[in-house]
Amino acid sequence: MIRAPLQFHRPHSIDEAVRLLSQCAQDGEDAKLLAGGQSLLPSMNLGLVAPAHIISLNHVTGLDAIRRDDDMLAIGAGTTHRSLAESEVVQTYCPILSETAACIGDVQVRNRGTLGGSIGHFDPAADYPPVLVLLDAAFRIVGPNGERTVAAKDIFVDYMTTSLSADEVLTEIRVPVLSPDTGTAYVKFTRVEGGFAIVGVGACLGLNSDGTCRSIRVGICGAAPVPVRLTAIEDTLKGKTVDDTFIEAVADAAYETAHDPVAELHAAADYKREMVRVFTRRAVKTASERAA
Amino acid sequence: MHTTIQLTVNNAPCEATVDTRTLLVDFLRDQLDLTGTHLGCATGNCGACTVVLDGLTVKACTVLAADVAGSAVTTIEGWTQDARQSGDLHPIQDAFVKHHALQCGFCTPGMVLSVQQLLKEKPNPTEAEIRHGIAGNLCRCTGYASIVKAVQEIARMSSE
Repeated sequence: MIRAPLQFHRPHSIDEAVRLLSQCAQDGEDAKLLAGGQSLLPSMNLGLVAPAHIISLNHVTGLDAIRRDDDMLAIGAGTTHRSLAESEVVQTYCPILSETAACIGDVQVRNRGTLGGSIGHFDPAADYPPVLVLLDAAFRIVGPNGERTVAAKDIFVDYMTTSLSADEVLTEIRVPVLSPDTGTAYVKFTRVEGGFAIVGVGACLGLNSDGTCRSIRVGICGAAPVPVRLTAIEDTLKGKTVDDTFIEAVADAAYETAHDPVAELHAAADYKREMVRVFTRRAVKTASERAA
Repeated sequence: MHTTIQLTVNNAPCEATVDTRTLLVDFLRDQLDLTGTHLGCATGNCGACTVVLDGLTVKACTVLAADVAGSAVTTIEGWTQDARQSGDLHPIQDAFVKHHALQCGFCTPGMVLSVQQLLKEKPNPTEAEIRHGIAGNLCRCTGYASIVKAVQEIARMSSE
């Protein structure tokens, strides 16, 4: 039950949504965008947030489109986890995003929850952020002064904080089309199936014809309040033979980088740090098997 | 603040005025007397409030009634309507009874709706797929083993 009264808005275009947000901001009234609502509604039921206005993006036309645009995939922010998991285009050109979407929550949550909603909410244990960071995704954002594009490394600012302004709407997420020989994997450590990630690791590995590493990218959630990318070692590992030593080097780098994990009920900080090592090892190993 | 919504509930047109903060589950239970949809946790965890919204299962405690205007909602009452009219149980209900797939029954309406969605998409699910398909529905009585058995029998029967 939601205790605080609210005004409900149902815009059919992004422009209309932005106008409503601006109006609320001008009036000094708290407004929240509803994009699936799988985190927002529980938070409202618990009384953790009590916005005066709810602006539902669930009926904005075209916000759930997925299309290939040259060497990028353009994914509408209103795309549900289910659609991402089942999309043949995404499975073919950016399989790690499908794999990630398929392990979020449960069937009902995936049927309703959206990519844009998850990003806007930015729970530090959410699965998309580390994957979008490793993919160098770009985020199209519309506000009262027009449109801007933000890089993944700049959108996740701090614990449950993004660089989206109160009067802006995230409309599209752009990820690169991966070459077919790229091996990818997203693995997560949860207490029960469908739980939030205690640790989640995404890996993307390209191999040269001689089996050496052409490129490796790793993104991790649970290692810090924002997703961590292993940028330093990603460069030094290029050209190296992908074997157990290689995988161990990535896992060690992940452990070193994860120096500040946030302790939680089911996992102390040092335990999470150790799990970062374990799950990085699994992610890179799986990615290498899929690349072969 | 109130709003008037038009939607389809259990295949029948429905128009109602709702408080804008009303959850879909409360709307179904309190305004339409469809109390087969249960409210458990109100945080999207337990799945007792599972209903079918435009063909897909959702947890009705995470949906605002005002947000489903124009949609089609099917609750456990609507979904078992045909069987009840002929005085029978639906095959899924039958299998649940036979395998003791319920004890207190609180999770059952949501569980049955999740099972029907699973079987619609995967008529012959493996045990892992069954467990994956009902992961959004918590049962504190059965330990799930009997539910899995019930689903396996339905799949077996329908493939014969």
